[in-house]
Amino acid sequence: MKVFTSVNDKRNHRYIGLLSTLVLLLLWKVISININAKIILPPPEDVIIRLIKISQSRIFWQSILTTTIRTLYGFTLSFVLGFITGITCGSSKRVSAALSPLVSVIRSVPVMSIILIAMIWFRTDMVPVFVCFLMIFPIITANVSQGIIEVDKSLIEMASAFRLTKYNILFHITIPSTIPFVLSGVRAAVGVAWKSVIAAEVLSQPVKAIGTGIQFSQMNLETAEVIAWTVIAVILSKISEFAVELIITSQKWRLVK
Amino acid sequence: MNSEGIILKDISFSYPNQNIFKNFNINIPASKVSVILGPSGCGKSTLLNIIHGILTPESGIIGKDKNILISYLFQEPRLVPWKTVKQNIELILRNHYDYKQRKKITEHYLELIGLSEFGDYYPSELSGGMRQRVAIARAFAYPAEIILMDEPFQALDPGLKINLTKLFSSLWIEDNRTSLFVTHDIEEAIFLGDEIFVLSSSKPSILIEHIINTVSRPKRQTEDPEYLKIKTRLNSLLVN
Repeated sequence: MKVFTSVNDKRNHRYIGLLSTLVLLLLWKVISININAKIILPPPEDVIIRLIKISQSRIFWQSILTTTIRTLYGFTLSFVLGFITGITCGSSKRVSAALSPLVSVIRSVPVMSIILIAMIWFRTDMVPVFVCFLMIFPIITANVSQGIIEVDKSLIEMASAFRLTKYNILFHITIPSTIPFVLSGVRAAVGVAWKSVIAAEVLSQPVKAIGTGIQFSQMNLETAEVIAWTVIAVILSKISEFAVELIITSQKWRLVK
Repeated sequence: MNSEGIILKDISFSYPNQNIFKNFNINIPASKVSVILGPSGCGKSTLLNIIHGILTPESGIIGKDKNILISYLFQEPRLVPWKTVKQNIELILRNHYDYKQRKKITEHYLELIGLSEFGDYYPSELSGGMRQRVAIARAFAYPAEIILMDEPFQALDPGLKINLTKLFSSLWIEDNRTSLFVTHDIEEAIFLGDEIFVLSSSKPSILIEHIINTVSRPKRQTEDPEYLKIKTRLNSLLVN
């Protein structure tokens, strides 16, 4: 019985979500009619028309591609380094204490400061990568080190009783036990990655970039185009969130006590 | 398998505010199942940990080869949740066998515990009893000369308990490995133990009785008069 209700619940929630989207679109339409100034708020259909129009240019697809590559680049970089740092921090309280000021500073520095400093240090197309890296690195590090700290001690005890080598304990018990933490870190980081890359692109203006597209449209007071690019950014972010969600649900094992 | 006994001589061990053992002696015979029986908190688990080497006694001699391999069966199955049943067993064989041998040994023991078809299942997909069966298979699959068991059937319901003690017996008969079993359950002690050591509840713990179980394995747990005699004796010892 419980299965049925939960399936029904899910379906109901989906309907509610769909309905609220329609309401929001309608609200948008109504407000734009009332304002009656396309520069301030163009109606939804204008955005769609503009989206179709810009999607016919080559630079549109190249922008999407390069922004995606930058996001992946920054994400992978911080994932790998954050993972290693997280393992070290989780295994040693001293390392953790030594790195914690750095991590907390990175966390509280305003994104804009990071972008502006990065623009002094890096080539324009590398600025978004660096910004993305700095934004995500603390999230991954914190999650991985938490996972290491919360490893099931009784499993470590079992492994030592059977005299597993340190290497085997690390790779078969400790690191896999961080997976749920890593995944929840990744889930939190994906959205941040896209947002920070695009924000950095707006300021650093690489030749091909979603951020550059947004900035360019804004300068030309093409509000519909700004929103069209934004829609693309949201779609990309949602696709990657969905992919992460797929990875999370494909995990067959569950924790047992 | 070449089995060895364990001799503990003049062992003293204490926790910050309690003396657990003072000049404690015990002689665990080779190739037999020995049971340490005693009330909760009498130091049974401490004794196992001293034998395993997890705890170091303040003084005394542990007569066993330092490099000897010891298998451990815990109260809970302690299976690795992200590894399948097969992978769980193969994991602890890693330092001892190559891939092919590991696979063969794993399959052999899965067959013995009747879970061949569940080799690719994750622990979360098994019942509690099945998980503990896998833990038993893992303990036997490990090339240890000694198997230590810390009340491994305690948390299970009575039916399962009987099933698993029988399973243990049938696996043990294969190679008669030196086994030391810790429990507070009298029936379990007589069913499994060839030699039963009774610990006192007073501190520091002393051995108050050493009974050699003369009832042959198939006759245990029946209305055998000798079995009942041991049971009565143990009951009277634990009550006092």
